[in-house]
Formats: sequence, structure tokens, C-alpha cells
Amino acid sequence: MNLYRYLATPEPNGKKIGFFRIITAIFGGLVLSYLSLCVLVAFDSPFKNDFAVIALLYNTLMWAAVALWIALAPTKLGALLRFVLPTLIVVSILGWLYE
Amino acid sequence: MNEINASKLWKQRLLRLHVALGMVVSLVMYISVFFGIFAIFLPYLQVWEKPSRHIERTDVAQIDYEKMLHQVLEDPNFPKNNLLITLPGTKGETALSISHRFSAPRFFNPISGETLQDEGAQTQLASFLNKLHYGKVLDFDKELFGVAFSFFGRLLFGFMAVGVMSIVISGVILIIIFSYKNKPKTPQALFSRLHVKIFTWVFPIFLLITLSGAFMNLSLLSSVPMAKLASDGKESRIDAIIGPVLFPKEEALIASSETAVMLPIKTLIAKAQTLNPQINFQQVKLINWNAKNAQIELKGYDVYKPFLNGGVFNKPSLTLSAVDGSLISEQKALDRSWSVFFAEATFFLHFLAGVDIISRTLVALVMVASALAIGFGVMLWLEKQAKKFDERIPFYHWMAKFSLSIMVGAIPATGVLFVLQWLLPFDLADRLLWQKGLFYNAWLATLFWAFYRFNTYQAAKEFLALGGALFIGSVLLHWFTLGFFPLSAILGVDLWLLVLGIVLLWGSRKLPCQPEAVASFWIKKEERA
Repeated sequence: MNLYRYLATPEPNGKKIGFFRIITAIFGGLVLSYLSLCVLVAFDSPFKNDFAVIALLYNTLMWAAVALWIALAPTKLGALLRFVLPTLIVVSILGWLYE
Repeated sequence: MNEINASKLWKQRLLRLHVALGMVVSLVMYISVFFGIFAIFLPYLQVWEKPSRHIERTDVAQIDYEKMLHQVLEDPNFPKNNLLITLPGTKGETALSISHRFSAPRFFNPISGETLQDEGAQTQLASFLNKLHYGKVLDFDKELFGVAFSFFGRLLFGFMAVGVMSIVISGVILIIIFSYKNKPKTPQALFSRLHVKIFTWVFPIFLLITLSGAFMNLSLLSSVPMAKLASDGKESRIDAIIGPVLFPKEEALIASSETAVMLPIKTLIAKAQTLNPQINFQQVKLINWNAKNAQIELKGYDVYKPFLNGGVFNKPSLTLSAVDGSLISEQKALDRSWSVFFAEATFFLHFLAGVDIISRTLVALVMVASALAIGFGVMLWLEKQAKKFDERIPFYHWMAKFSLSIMVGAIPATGVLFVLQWLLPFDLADRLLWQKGLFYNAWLATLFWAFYRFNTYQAAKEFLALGGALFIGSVLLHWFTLGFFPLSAILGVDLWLLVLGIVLLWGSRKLPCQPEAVASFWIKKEERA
């Protein structure tokens, strides 16, 4: 419960980003952006190879955008959820496709 | 109340992220942009740096190709089938080269047909500047140290590019939500205004170039899981997935046993040009030469479709029979899959393949503006730090000294590189290593000098003056060693370096030195309240 309160309480100001947000943004952003572009490649479509080109071209831009989005969450818990929830969705789609 | 507070926190955090990330990556980004500006002119520098390339330009339709081809075909050690002839004029090159996938290229003077003594690894000024641009900074050797550190450099520059994209996105949001309209009254406000104004204009180009840079340094390394996913676990190389789209395989043609007389290559080029007048031919491939089913494949760049072809992936081509010149197959600029155009468009501004000097200069000017804007961003941060001391004590900050050495110190260090190009004898053993080593030492010396000089503006003045003198000196040394080459790309590089030198000397003269003069330099008296 203490941990929950620590994560869910908004910081008093935005002048300090904090280690937790930085780590969640960088690594969470990487995992989420990479896996979500993998969805593009994983399902069978006539454009599979073309999608692979697009996914490779734009995964770094997506990483940059997603990391920024995660770091800007209102609370630390929000940042964690912005990483965990979409990643869970993406992973389940991938698992379903890959079966 | 809570809503307002959340929005305030969000804005604070956005600005803080922009600034913090900016201070982490700005110096690496500046290095990349600074040397990238030289890399934009790489084709011209490549010719300028080599004495063997100081030859006149020729029209590709007037060259006697057979004279050079015979020299290669008579060499028993050179492969014969699928020879590639790179036409003079391609990427600024003045020589004609004949190469093969499995053999080192041979260079010829297209006018006289004589073999050129290529300097090879003795002079690689342009390629070294290009390596500095993408982080392959420490590849002194092929041993573990060199390989490991150039890999580290590429990763570092790749991660930097991702950081820069985050900064660009956050910067664009900041420009949208805050108004930056006040008339600047302090140097700090002026730096902020310049930083914002410049990037408001150039950020799309800047973002596209950074994106393609990040792709080259990171994406291909991280592609293994994606390749596995796309191929149901069969492939671990992404080339197997994207290769068929980006680089379609050509079918090998078995040579006929009968021989035939070939048409002259210049006639075939002229014929191909009439079939598709829009293509600027760059490379010619000779398939089964001297056999009855011999073919010639001509690849090039369609100048009327920029952003869509000419880079790495999409090169329109024509294949003709070498016996009678009849058209066998044709691939036009727009015949490829849609993702190829995405790739070409993303890379176009970065590679500028087949682009003429005017467009290159425009992109270079945009990048100069970006480099200045990065510099103003760092100066803005430093002004804010200096404000904490409220002018009670003189400001001396390690970041000021460090960024002075990286940003301004790079100019005289590069000047040393250019001067050494003509100062070192061309037969010196390990010439390139001396050149690189002295360059790095000069750059390091600027770091010591920056810390030694208390007054940052004075050190900057000295660096600019030294840099200007060195660039002008390198041009004079070039004329002294090799003579004057009227009306050519070589003279263009000379003039370009002269103008750069003069601008640097002028900047050094204009820059204020005394602390009192600094504020009035940035903000004119009457504008101050």
C-alpha cells in the first residue's frame, strides 16, 4: 500500500523528472514501440515485406514519441501504466497471431 | 484547481524534459551536424583532396570506353563478367572507375584512358569527416579496440538521434502551447528567441535527417526479433524480409558460347539516353561481354522525381542488348513497391544522391542554421545558470568550457585537418594516422585552452581567428602544391573554404571580449529598456 501511495501521489512540481520516470520512459518506450511495430509485421498481409520496411524505418521515431508520452504522465503510476497496459495488449495480439 | 495544477505540472515537466535531454545530447548532436555539413560536400572534397583526381570533366557520351575496358579485360587477375563502370560525374568524381563485386576498383583518366595512381588509404580526408559525422570516430585499426570503439560510437550517435527526435517533438509542442512573441531585452531572451525561431522554420528537415540517421545507426542492429517474427522464426536477418522489396534479385544470364562484336559503349549510352531522356546515367554494368547474348545495364537517377529515386534503393535502369542496341527491359523510377518510395523519401535529404550543388548548398545552410540554433540553446541554458550568481562573481562553468571546446574548438581542429592534407607528403607512411592523430590532439588542446582562458568570449575569438587562418592557409597550400585549377569543382571547394575562412575571421573580429560589451553586442542599446 505504501508503494502504491508512493507511485500514485503526483510530485509537487515538474522541475525534477526523477529516476523512475527516466527508466520507465527509455526502456518502456523501447519495448512498447518495438513490439507494436512488430504487430505490423507479424500478421499475414500482402504487404508484409513492405510493412517490415516501414516498421524498421520508423521504429526509432516511435521510440522517441512513446518515451516522451510515458515521461509526461501525471504520476509515476501513470507512467508505469502507460507502459504496461499497451504493452500487454500488444503482447496478447502478438501471441494470438503467433499461435 | 486540481485540473489547473495538473496542466501546470505537465507544462513544467515538458519544458524540463526538453532542457534536460537537450543538455545531455546537444554536444553529440552538434558534432554530428558540424561534420555533417562537411559530409554534404563530400563528393567535391573527395576530388579536392586527391592530386590524381585533378583532371578535367568530360561528357560521358564522348568517352572512348573500349580503351580502358581492354586494359581491365587483359588483366588475368581481374574478374570478367558483370563489370561495373562508374561514369565520371557520378557523386562528383572526375575519374572513371571499373570495378567488380569481388575486386578493388581501378581508376582511369576518362580523357586519355590512362590508369590513375589512386592514393587509396593515403588520403581519406572526406571519408574521415564523414565518419566523424556518424560516430565511427575511433576506428584506428581492425583490432578489437578499433572495432569495439567504432561500434560504441555508432550506438552513441544512434541513441543521441533518438533523444534528438524526442527533443524535436517536445519542442514543437512547446512552441504551440507557449507564445514566444516578446521583444527580447536580455541576451537570454534573445538566445531563446533565436533557438525557437530557427527551429520553427527548419524542424521538419531536421527531424527527417535525424530519423534517417537513427535508422542507419540503430534499426538494422535491432532487427533480429522483428525478422524472426515476420518469417515465423525462419530468418534472423532482416535482409531476408526487406531485401526482396528494397533490392530485387537479378536473374543470372548464362553466357552464350558464340562471340559477337559489341557496339561501342558510348553509342549504347547515347541510345539509352534517347529511350529515356529523363535519366542521368551513373553506372553501367556489362553482362556476358563479348558473347552473343551480351547485355548492358545502365542505372541512374531520374532528375525529375526527387525524393522518390536515386538514393540507395531505387535506381531506374535500362537494359539493352550490346550487340544491336535493342531494348531488353526497363525499370522506370515509379515502377517499385510503395514502401521503397517511403524509404527513398526518408533518406533523400540525408544522402542527397544525384543532387546538384545548389540544393546541397541549401541543405548545408539549413544545417548551419540548426547548428547555430543548438548553440543558442546551450547558451540559453548557460545564461540561466549564470543568473544564479547574479553577476556578483564572474561566471565560470565547466559546461561552458566544455561546450566551447566542442562547438567552437572543432573549427580550428578541422582547420588543422585541412592544412595537414597539403602539408604532409603524400608518400608518408601512415599518413592518415598522423593526420587523424594531430587532429584529435588539436581538438584536445582547444579543451585545455578553453579551461585555461577565464573569459569564454576571448577563447571563442581566438578559436575563430585560428580556424579562419587555417582554412585560408589550407587553400593557399593547395594552390602552392598543385597549382590553380580554373573553373572546376576543385576551384569551387577552394573558394568555399576561402569564404568560410573569411567569415570566421570576420566573426572573430566582431565578437565582443569584455563582459560589459557582451550584453550590448547581443542587444542593441536602444532596444534595451
